[in-house]
Amino acid sequence: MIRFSQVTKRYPGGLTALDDISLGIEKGELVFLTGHSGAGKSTLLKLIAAIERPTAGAVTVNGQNVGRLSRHAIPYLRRNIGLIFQDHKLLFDRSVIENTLLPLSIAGFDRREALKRARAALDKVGLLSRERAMPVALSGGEQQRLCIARAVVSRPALVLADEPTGNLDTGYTIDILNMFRDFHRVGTTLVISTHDERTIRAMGGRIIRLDHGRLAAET
Amino acid sequence: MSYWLAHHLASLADALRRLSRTPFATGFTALAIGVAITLPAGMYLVVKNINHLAGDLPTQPEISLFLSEAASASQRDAIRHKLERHPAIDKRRFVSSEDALARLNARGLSDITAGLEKNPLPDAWVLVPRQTTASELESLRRELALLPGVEAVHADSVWAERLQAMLDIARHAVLLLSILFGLALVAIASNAIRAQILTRREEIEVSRLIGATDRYIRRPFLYYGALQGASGALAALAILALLVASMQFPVSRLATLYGSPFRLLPLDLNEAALVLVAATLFSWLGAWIAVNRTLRKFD
Repeated sequence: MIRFSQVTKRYPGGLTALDDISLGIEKGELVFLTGHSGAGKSTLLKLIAAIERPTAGAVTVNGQNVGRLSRHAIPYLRRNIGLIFQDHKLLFDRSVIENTLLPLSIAGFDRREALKRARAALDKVGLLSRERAMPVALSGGEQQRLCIARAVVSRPALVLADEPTGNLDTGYTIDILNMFRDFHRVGTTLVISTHDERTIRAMGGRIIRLDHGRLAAET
Repeated sequence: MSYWLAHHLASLADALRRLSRTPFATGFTALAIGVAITLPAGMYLVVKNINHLAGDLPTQPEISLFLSEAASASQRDAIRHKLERHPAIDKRRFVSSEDALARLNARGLSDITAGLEKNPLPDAWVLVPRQTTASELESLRRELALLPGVEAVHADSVWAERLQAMLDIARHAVLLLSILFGLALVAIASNAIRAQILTRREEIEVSRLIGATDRYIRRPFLYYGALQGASGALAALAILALLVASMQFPVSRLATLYGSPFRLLPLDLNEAALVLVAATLFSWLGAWIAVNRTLRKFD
């Protein structure tokens, strides 16, 4: 589903975030990206979602070279990818349900159908009772769950999560990892970056370790 | 398709909500746009009213030939004969002294004419010459003045011609001003929208990350811009209406002193609609430029 062939990413200023990476991720896989901070985990995820373009090499998603996508085509690629961010990137002037509806609104869903799906997604992350709340009123763990609901509401085949448990304490972390396991069970491909290797060992799944932009180990 | 329509309506509602949430900023922007529109539109109104006032004046030069009161019937016939054959004269019209008086009365000068003991107006010919250059008009005037039975000959439309030339310049100036202020309007609108975009930067970035097209992101801002332009146009129309209303009394008093029923003309419905549409379009364009520039910068 995802293929990196000799991908290098250098940022302006000379920082080499990824150095000659080649790897493949199959459909339905659960993959953890680990490594120290600055190892290139976020960059790797950004390349998949065409948030950044590779300096050299090719990143293909479902056979599409995403580094070569036109401006116009990128939104349609992103609609098939659920993105989960460490800082949640919620819209604080909209309620929980409106935040969840945003991807469906962008994709052009009928409002009634969208509401049904949004409620189902909120139910999955345990926030259905808070649908009218504003995001500020949510705890950190709840905000992360809302971010997850928004990422999965349009039922993407691929979910990318960048340090989804980075700011959370252990109880919340286990909650969220269990949610990811549920998505994995229904066939979603998941790529999750984390610097916390202990918590993921219990989850199974493939682990890719990055070190200073290079592929260090795979298990 | 129905979703597309729904998003348009939602964008419009969103823009309205945002405009009403910041009434002061909205009001001041509308005022700035309104004043910017008032200048060219007001000048247009001035030109329109002068043109209206001068409306009956001939735009082509005319020559008025007044017969002397003592002219004999044979002299009158000779003059008629001469005028009908003259190669330099295109059209000719006889205005009897009674007709001339009736026309004065019709122009609202009956107060003055009623006080006269007898009709002071002479019989006259109004001539339209073929050639309109000043020198040829003058030679024709001299030639006709020498005919027996002719009291006086006036090439009296020179000033009307000059007025028309001046009005042409004014119209040209209105056009140039409109273009200039149209550009100013684009700039004002674009700036106001940029402020909007900055406060919604996060929303734009998040929307793009989850697959929003540029078109989707642009839409609410374009509506915002269009509404802003429209509110500016309404402000301008209100300002112009106030100006006309406040000028109406002094102007009609002056006109009455001259015995004229003249009243200031306001913008008519078509002109008001044109102002509204143009301001909306220009402001929309300003929004479009601002959003596109910002979207490129976010890349």
